[in-house]
Amino acid sequence: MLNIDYLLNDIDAVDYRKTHNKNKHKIYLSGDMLCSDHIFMLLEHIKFIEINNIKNVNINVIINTRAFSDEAVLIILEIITYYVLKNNIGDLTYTFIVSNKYLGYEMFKNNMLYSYNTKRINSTAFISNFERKCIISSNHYRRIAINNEENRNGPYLSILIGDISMFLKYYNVDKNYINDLSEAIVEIVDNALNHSTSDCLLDIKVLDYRPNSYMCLNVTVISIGEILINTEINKYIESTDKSKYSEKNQIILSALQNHKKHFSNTYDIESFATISAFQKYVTTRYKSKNSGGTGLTTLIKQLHEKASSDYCYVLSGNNIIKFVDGYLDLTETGLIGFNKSNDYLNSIPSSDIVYKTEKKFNGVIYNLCFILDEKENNNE
Amino acid sequence: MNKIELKFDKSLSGLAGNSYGVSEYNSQLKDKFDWNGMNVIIFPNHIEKIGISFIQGFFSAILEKINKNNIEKYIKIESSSEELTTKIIENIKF
Repeated sequence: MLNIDYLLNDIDAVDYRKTHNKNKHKIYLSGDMLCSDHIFMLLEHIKFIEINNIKNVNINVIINTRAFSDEAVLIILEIITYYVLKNNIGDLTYTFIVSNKYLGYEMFKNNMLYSYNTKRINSTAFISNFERKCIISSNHYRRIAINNEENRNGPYLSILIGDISMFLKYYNVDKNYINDLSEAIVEIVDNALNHSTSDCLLDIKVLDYRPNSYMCLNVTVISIGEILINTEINKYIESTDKSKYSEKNQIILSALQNHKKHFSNTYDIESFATISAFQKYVTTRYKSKNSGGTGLTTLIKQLHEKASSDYCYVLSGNNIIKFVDGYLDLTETGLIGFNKSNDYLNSIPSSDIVYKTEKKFNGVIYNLCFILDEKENNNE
Repeated sequence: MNKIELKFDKSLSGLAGNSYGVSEYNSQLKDKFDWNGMNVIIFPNHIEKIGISFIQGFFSAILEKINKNNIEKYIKIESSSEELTTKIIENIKF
């Protein structure tokens, strides 16, 4: 289960109709970029439809933006579309008035909504396509990783790492880069399956303009649900009996004493717990591995070093960590500060690296986008 | 020298997942490991890449008893490539 209904859990019901026709709802999402604010607008309107028990709604969403902020936004739009159609909330039509000059538009061509632009979405076909466990086309790899014991504990992730490598090999990218990227992706999926109760959606898109120009690799991993990256850390901080946890977790409490002096509406205990999940020796459950992705920042750093540019982040709840060069190193003691001095213990993270979103996303999104330059990545 | 040849499904080219690592330790390594001498752990040639989480899961029980800085006194790794062998050792010590 993707547990999509969790997306609406903390959402207010808001009527965004421009014209007050009961069954025909025209919603305008406009601005410079199609971004998370627009996604929340759509979710709020769906909540409005659900709460008011409005039936047989014809929803027409007009997206009038210059570009898309990132691939994750478009994938969430697919997920919302699936939710609306699967639950018979209404019919959906999207009208995308978006410039085709930008890279994101090329990615959009592989989105399930692209072929339905200005057309009413065929519910049966869309649902069937969305529910496919695996889609592999020439430049798109999409998989729904089912969260069950067999997949968590068996060879599923080993099969997946081979599968992703095989897909990427088609593009003739440096073998080590493929191995590092496949490993990073599978580490994220491993964490998603082992630290949530939801299935996980993995989407990889590739745009290859070489040899004359660049290659773009975009990876999005989404798991929806109440368990966030910081959930287990919060439990540890709040627990009265800390004896069942590793003594190495004490570092969290020591850091908290320093960080809490700086807590504000832009950096709070939730932000602190999120960055704490990335500390190497922090174990959030008795004898369990780290929940945030020990080693993941190191892997992303390796990928970053070979890319000419990148845009990588994780969003969990309303906490964002951007993975930016200069902020990805673990210290000798396995700590990561996400600040200029790389000091987790004494200093709060940089406000442009770790920050809060206005609205809460119930789940975790990893979005990793790398631009590879042919000159910098000679093939083996 | 205690040689332990690991076996995985021949269709696999990679190994990943912390829990799978723990389970493979229990089924392939636990009862064969010599805690007093050198163990040569041989990964089959068809395994070309191994995720850090698998390595951490596979060796976690060993690292509870042996300090990671002394690991080379007890473990020698053989794998499909020198690069992979180096990476396995680095990730055990990570």
